Amino acid sequence: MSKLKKDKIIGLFLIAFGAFILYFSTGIKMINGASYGVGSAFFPRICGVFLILLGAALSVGDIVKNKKSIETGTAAPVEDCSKMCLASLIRMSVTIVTLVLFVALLRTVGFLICAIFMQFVLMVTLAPEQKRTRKNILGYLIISICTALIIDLLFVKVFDLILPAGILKGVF
Amino acid sequence: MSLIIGGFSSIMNLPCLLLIIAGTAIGIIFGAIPGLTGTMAISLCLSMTFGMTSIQAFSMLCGLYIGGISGGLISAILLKIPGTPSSIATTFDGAPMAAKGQAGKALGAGLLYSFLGGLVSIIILMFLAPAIASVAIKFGPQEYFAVGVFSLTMLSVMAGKNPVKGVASCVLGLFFAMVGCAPIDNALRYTFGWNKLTGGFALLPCMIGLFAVSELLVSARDGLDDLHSAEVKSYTLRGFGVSISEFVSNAFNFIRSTIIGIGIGILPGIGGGTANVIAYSVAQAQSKQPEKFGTGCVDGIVASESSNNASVGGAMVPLLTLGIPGDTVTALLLAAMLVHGLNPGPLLFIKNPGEVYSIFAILFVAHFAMLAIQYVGMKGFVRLLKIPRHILLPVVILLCAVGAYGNNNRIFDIGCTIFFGFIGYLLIKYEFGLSPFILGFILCSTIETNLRNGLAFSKGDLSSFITRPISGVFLGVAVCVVIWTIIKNIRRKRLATRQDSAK
Repeated sequence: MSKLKKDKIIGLFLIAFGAFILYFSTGIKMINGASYGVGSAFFPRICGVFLILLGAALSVGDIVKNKKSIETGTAAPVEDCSKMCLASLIRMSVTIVTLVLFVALLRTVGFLICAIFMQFVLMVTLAPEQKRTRKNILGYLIISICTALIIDLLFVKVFDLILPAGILKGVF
Repeated sequence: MSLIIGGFSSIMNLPCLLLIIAGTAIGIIFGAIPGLTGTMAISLCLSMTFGMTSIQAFSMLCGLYIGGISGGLISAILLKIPGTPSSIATTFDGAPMAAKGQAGKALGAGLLYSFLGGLVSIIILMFLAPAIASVAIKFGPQEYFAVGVFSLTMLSVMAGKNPVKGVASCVLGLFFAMVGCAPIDNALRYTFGWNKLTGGFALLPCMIGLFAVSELLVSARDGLDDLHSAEVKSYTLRGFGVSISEFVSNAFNFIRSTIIGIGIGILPGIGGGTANVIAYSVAQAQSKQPEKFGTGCVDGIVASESSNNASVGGAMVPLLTLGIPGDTVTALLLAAMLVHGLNPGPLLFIKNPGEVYSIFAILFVAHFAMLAIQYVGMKGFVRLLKIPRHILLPVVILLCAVGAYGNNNRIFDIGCTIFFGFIGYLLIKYEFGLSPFILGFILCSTIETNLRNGLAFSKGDLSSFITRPISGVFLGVAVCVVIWTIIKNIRRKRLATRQDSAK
């Protein structure tokens, strides 16, 4: 997708988000006598209106630019979404899923295991391809275990922070 | 004067001095490694300060700030990659000097002028901040509202390439800060019946997510280069690389760049990243030999390095006197101040003068620490440039997660960190800019509360916001900035159209 088309979609998203803010501002309870004419719904409404106006400006500006660039034959090239994009998408997806799993499992599984899992997966995911040999992966696992243990001990024993122990409760 | 002496005496103990040294060293490492920033260093170290006294905590955090700004020059000169945005202009002349075999001279000059620029700005901060605070103490809600609106306007229209996106980013920041209980009447907003949202989104998880998690997602998208393949230039550091004649001939350049750094630092949201480029451009424009710039000339390094460190003192002025952060790092320092029970603003100078002057003293001492640590430990920092980022980033993220959790002992806050990280990633990807979002998030409560209080004091009379001189001036300047930006954009578009039709 070209940058220009992206801006149009972003503009439409801002308009939709502004409308969402405005719609749900109607449910904010007004407390009489709390202020002069400006209640708790006033500021969200201002934000909603601003977002709609800004979204419209972005979309309209984008349409005008697009029209001009087509007329002058200087339309922005369409991005090449081939192997590069797929690799990037896989890295992004694995990173997001890992982070979400870290939060979701933290209470039940515990900090230590979640920390080792998160660090190891992220290190392997972010590493350049030539750094994903069996030896390197073993190194990442050792680093993940060591750093998780150090951070856990440092924060629990030195800084008195209570981190979720999960299934290892009583072991450490 | 007694307050200044008191500030110095309160930090002249082993724990504080060790924390300043440790903070500065860690900050230099984060500043030096491309992709890691001083802001990220503060995000992850903040959690370690929870159990410390406020002075000990700021010993570490201010050290990180100074180190983070200065460390960028190492990679800018030796790798030709600026470690932080504050060192972009250092690359212009530092890298050519290194290519000519003068890396040691470039590093020495960079170090010296970072130190001098920062030191001068801290001395000015010591005298300027109390004076501004004594004026700000007379501010009513109208003035606070006007200063808040002025700050948001300045940042939104000037921070990025597209002012529309800048303002949108700021409005989004305002919206997310509104979730939870409203100020004054405590009405619930956008909680959708979810109890955990009643208190709203905490500042610290939001900031950590925006800075650290978004960087992780950007790295995941782009993939990480192997920095081992980047050639690190060899160097020999002798003295500070600058001869007496070069020092004398650059005196005016140094003073001018330091003033630019302080001035830009004071303006909300525009920190060292902009200051170094502007100071460099001005130095080039004013030079008798502008053609020498970019070919490896010390003048360029003097301009860039003195201005970026001078922006530190400048950025601390609005933070301490008005509670408005001057750049992203000071936004995190604001969060840290709140965590440690300090409320930045003019009252801070009355309620906690000891802490304020201790912060001044810490910033002062941290500059000496920065100079000594970088000079002595340069070889070590250069070696650290080779630590792979795919190992560093996950460790940083884990520390950030602990920091977010430690704020309130809630797993929900780690979830918020990831949520804001994703928002930060989208803002970066679609060129909205993070700074307007952050400032909007921080200033929302100030602006809304003071608007409502101002209207209550004036019995609903909106004109009081314009008729009071200080608020009138700030709102007037904000309007002028918006009009100027619109005119500038129209002119730019017309020029582009003319150029297209000429082709």
